Amino acid sequence: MLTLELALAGLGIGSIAALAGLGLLVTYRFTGVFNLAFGAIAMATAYLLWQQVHVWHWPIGLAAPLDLLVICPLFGVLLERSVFRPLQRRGASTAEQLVASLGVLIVLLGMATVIWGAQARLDAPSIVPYRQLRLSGRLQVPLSTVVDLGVIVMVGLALVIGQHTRLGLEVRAVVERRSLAELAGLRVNRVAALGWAIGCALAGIAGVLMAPTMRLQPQGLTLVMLETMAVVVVARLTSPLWAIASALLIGVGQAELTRVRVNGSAEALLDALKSNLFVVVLLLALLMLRRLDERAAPDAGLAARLPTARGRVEARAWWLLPALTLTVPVLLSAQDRRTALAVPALAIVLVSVVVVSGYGGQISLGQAGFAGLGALVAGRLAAGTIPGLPRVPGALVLVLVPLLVLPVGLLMGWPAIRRRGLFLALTTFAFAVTISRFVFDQPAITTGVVVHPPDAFGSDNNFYVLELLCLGIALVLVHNLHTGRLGRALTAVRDDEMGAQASGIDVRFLKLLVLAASAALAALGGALLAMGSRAFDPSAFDPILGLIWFAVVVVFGVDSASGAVIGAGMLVALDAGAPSGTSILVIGVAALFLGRLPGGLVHTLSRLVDATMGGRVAAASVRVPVAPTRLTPTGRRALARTLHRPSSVRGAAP
Amino acid sequence: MNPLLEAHGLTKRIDGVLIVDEVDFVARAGQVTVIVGPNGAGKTTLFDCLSGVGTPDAGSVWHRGEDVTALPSDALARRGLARTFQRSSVFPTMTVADNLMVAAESHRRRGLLRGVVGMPEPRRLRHGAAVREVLADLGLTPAAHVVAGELSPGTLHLVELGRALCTGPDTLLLDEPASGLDDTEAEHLHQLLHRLAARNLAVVMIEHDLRLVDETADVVYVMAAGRAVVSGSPKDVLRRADVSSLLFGRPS
Ligand SMILES: Nc1ncnc2c1ncn2[C@@H]1O[C@H](COP(=O)(O)OP(=O)(O)O)[C@@H](O)[C@H]1O
Ligand SMILES: [Mg+2]
Repeated sequence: MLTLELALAGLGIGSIAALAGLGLLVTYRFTGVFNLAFGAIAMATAYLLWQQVHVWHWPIGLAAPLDLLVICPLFGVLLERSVFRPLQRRGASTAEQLVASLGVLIVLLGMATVIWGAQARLDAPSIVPYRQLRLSGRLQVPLSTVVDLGVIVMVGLALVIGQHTRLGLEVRAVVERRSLAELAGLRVNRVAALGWAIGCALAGIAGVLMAPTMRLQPQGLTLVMLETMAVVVVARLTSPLWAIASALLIGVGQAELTRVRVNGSAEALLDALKSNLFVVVLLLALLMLRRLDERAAPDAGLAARLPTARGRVEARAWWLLPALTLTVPVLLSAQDRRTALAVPALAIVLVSVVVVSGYGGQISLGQAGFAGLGALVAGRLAAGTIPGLPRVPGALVLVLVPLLVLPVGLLMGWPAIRRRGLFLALTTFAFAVTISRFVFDQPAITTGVVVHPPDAFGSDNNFYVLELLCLGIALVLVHNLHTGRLGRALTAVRDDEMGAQASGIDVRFLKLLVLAASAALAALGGALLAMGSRAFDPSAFDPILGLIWFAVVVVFGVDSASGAVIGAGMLVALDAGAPSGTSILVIGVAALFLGRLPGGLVHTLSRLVDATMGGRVAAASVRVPVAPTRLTPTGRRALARTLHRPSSVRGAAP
Repeated sequence: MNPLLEAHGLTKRIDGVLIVDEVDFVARAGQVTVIVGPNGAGKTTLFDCLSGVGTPDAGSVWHRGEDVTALPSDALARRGLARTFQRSSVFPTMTVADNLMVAAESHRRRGLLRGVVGMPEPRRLRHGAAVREVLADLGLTPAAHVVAGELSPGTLHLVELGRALCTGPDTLLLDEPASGLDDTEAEHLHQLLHRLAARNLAVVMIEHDLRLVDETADVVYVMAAGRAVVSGSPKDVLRRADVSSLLFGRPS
């Protein structure tokens, strides 16, 4: 039975989600960029208002309109100008634009953490005074809900009316076919700026309305806002009406669930469901909606690739750098060495991203989920508290953990590989959030889990050696994934899926393989991470961290395993040595400037060196001994044309 | 001669629009079969249906006498039906030799995972010789170690043809293989295709240059608005007034 009261209560959260979704949708439709940063923009706006009201004692009636109507739209225009317009002018792929928006998210997250700290605050100012309106009889509705709904109606009206203005017509032309609109001389830039301004304003409004209903905390609030992506996915990234309707429905559904009572073990599950319906809908929609990809992006679908080293490998000498990174801890004090235990473990996790994204070409934002599962399984295996499995002694745990998490990777991968690019990325993220909410946050599963290094490796020094051993094995396996027949097939799939399939390669199988392999690796890394800190800490595997890890890997070179090791060293060092949030800020800024370093930091550096020493071709490449043959005319021409291009045979420079 | 590839009543709609309309099609071993037709006639979409890239809404595809309508393109490639694309689909970060090697190796799916633990490929299963042969056939040998992303569009079509050949096909579907080549190059390509057909392959291609079609084709299909309107020997088909008005838009 539905009750009206609960439904009204649910409308509040539903309309906030609808606003956030509308903002995301407007930006996407106007610009073609899926703005992952909207979650952080919402969070930052809420913090800004908090600062103005509680620290600077501005009247909220002044601060809120200034933030929402001036600062947020201006920030959107700034983003368009400085980050996304250059990318789009360069013809950057969807994946690159996604990474840039991830960069914005991470920068804002870092800034918020540096300025306001990571601790939670309960006193987010509310722009709507708390009042109950009496509808009839005993039926009451909070004023804020009425305001939320009012804002939705106003925004909806503005969008409808705006469609009939001249600008509105241009917007529709751009939305239909970006490439054609540009040819037709339409002001694509103005439309994009408008899209960013509206998107950021709506994100800000949603953030300011959402914050008082929960705690103000950088990662937490960002994640909650990100969960509202569910409504945009349900709307297939097209229909605003569907987005609003599904947002209100999920909100009401969530509220109605509070009436349901069950006993026993299902109770915890139901409790989790009550506050996480958006996550569940997000994951289910991504896994089950049919024809999601084709409808969404008229122009974007084809080039969902990240810039890679374009067939080149870094010279062996580059491995000196990661090797150096890994020897630094030997020189440290005992205290710092304990901190440094995280480096090889994190390196394994980052290498797992290299496998799935660099070698496999699939954007995975969900490695935190697999890493956390690895840590959890390790702790419970050693304690013998996994039903049906005996207590597992010592280092055997580290062998079993990847094997046990691998099927989970397959389970997620099986439905997920139907998706490409953006939607696969979102699926992996939704998966990580689901795992986080329904497993890591469940006291019944995680309380009392202790994770110890295997007995023989109890001391920090011995454990570090064990970690290096694991990292070494992982690197060798990963190297094998990138060479020989398998490496060639994987590279083919990454380069051109259709071409790979036409060449007889079972693309689904290979995609599944990289997803599962990277899940297993991430689990191993997660287990070591937890062993190093001797506890299972859910916040060490927060889904937001998955986003940051992905950005680190892309910054250091998405197909560079050595870059992943260096990146892990840098991340741990910054976290230990610099104020909280600095590492996030650095990574975010670097991700924003990725356009200037195609292929990532490591490849950019190595290309500079190689420019003087002569490049080399791909690791997977075979050398067919070339007998001096007589050329056919076609071949002669092909060769002549090839050699006329600068730098071609050395295979460098894009 | 025995038909290697057959299609009956092939129909495909995209977004409700009829793109391929009840096409019947036969390609025989040892023959060059050419499909001509104006842009947008549905030739590429017909190839997609034949090669398992898109499933037809109605009709069936038969390869060596077996119904393969529902098979995906990788399975078809492994059983001998290879194709190239109008918009190049070579692997841009790999060398030309690797591009071909991938196709040569894809036949066997077993043993793929032994590479993970570092076991080398058994010597008898290495395909260097086959790749070298195809490279030489196409005159690509000097470009073998060039990263494919750096090649000109015409050369990319050759690489793609080479890749198709390396799957060891009995039927080749080539979507405008001569685009991007100049006249002499195109002529050489056609001679090569003729030689391939002489090795008892069924060569099917989409081509615009009617002079070349006249020289090379054994059978011509004319497509317009999704239908295969006429088929027959080039002599008969291309001389027909209605066909030339269709292809050139000239009233005759
Ligand atoms: N993915 C698609 N979505 C929408 N229309 C398509 C798609 N693919 C092809 N078409 C349409 O189908 C028609 C035939 O296309 P195609 O098979 O490429 O023709 P041809 O190869 O003969 O030039 C064209 O009008 C084209 O616009
Ligand atoms: Mg075509």
